[in-house]
Amino acid sequence: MIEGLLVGLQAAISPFNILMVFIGCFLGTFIGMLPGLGPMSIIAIMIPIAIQLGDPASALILLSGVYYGAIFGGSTSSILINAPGVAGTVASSFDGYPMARAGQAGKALTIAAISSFAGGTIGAILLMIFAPVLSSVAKLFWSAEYFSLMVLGLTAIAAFAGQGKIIKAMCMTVFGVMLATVGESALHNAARFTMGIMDLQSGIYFVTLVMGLFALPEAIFLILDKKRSQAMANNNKIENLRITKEEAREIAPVIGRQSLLGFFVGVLPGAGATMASFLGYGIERNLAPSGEREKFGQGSIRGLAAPETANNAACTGSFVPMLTLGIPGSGTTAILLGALVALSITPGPRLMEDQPEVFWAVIISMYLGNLVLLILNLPLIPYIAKLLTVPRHYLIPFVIFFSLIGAYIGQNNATELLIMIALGCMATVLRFGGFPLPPMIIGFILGGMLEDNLGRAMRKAGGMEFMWERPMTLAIFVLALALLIYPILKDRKRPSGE
Amino acid sequence: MARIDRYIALALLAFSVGYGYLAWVHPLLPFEARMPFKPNTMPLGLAALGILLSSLLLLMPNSDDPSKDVDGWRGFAWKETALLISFAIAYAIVLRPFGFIVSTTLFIILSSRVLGETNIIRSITTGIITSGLIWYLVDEVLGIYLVAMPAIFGGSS
Repeated sequence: MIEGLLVGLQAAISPFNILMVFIGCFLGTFIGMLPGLGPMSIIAIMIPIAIQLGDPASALILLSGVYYGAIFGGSTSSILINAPGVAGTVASSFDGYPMARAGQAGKALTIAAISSFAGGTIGAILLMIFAPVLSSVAKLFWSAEYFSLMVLGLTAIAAFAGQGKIIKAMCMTVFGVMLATVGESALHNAARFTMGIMDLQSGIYFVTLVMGLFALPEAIFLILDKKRSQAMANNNKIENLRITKEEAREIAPVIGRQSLLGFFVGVLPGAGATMASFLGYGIERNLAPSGEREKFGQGSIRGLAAPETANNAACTGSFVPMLTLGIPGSGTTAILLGALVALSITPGPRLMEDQPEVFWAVIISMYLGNLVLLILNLPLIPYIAKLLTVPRHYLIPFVIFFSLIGAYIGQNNATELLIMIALGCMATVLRFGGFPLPPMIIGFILGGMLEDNLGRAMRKAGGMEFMWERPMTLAIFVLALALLIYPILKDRKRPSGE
Repeated sequence: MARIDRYIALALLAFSVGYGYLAWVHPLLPFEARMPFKPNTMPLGLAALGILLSSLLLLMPNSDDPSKDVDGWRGFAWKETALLISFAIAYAIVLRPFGFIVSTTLFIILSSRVLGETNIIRSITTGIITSGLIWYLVDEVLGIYLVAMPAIFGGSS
């Protein structure tokens, strides 16, 4: 591990890569504050640029910086204007926004920055310890186990399925896998489902899909619902950044507990930052002394520190399955996984041995990213908030423009833009119908690998026997089935009207 | 009245049926037809799953709200939304022939005007500065080729 760390340090601590961390954190923070551009959209925008860097380590370092920056940026808009751009920062607005309204916006942002730093840094230490262990276990996996793992990864969609939405989430996953089968596959050269459109020969470009599913619908909702964007016009006082010794003492144990909880929740595929932040908030509310418990929802510093810490630790935790098994633990890591593939990196157990400089550089970049975020954000907090005052009539065109250009520069093909707009309109309608969209992107990203591994496993076994030939494959399938069936049974047991 | 998610479920069912049909009629090479895993093996399975799940959605009683995004259909700026989507489509079509700077500037000017910008000078300035800066960053700094100007001004598509 020490050797690996040194390799990572060597790769990460170059002036160019440090510059990349700074640029990533800076851009992520600023763009992440804009509603509609959560970490998923920002990373998708940055992927073509990262790919152009050529060096996979530099590209991933830039994207990690963008990721952490975007998470903090999202928390900022959540706290200042009660407009969480992504689900993972919703819990931060429960107490952050009341603090901001009470004239403690500066203090709320400082607590968010410190909690994010602590959660991210402790998460990176845990990642360093647990990733190699998981990686060595993963080497026992054959294509049959990989296929079963992909199926297990797909069950992650249960986390995105709210009450009564599991069938909808499953529908979206299947739809995402269907989209992944468009064009040529790894095992077959003949293109499928292209409807004669030459641009679909090599399949749907995943940045186009991500932009169409996330950034564009958010922009459309901002145009449709004026109330949603008018909140941005509010001015908030950003004074009094300091937290007292008593307050620091109060949030320290919260940060410690939530770093651990957030990391392990983040490791579970599909659980991710959203579940970690809500769990963290709920647990801290239950653990708080009776006098403090009532403050939750009214501007409690514990109530803000808990989801912020858990959110960041979970984001780091979600890198474990992505880096060692090739399974995205969240929607954002699904996009990062796509970036890895685009950079000709095969995610999985071999990554640590074949490209240790990439693996360890990412871990080192997490420490750097968190440190840089803290250094950048504390003095910049009063200025950062000014970005939120961008008028609606410029904010929306910028969101649409950046989505379009993000898809265009990756492929240099105008047809991609038309596909993206069509996907954006479709995604808006799906959101109206309450269909969760992250399962679709998880299905799309895993779809290609799923078919590839299924094909290999079936050819090796001569049929579907591979599913029960090896105990490990069977065990993973049973686990996947249980994870899918449990929410359905829970839904059925819930009394109607609840 | 049937809720929007029922219509979506119906559309997904139709899509799954169409997808399944295309998978069924996908031409197989002679050697592929004898393999345990064919190019249409997984698509056929997906189509069956899609038909099953969308049928379940159609048949099962709903217990959840259609969407948290929607407070109600009234009061939504449908006209502005339709115009902005039209501008985005037009932008996609003219991006190559008009060049990046001209089409982006026009997109930002028109979109900002539709969304309520009254100062034409400010929208033109914002459009030109944004398109110029992004073009410089993408084309000159990052080296990703973007046609800057229309062909008649020396740009090539």
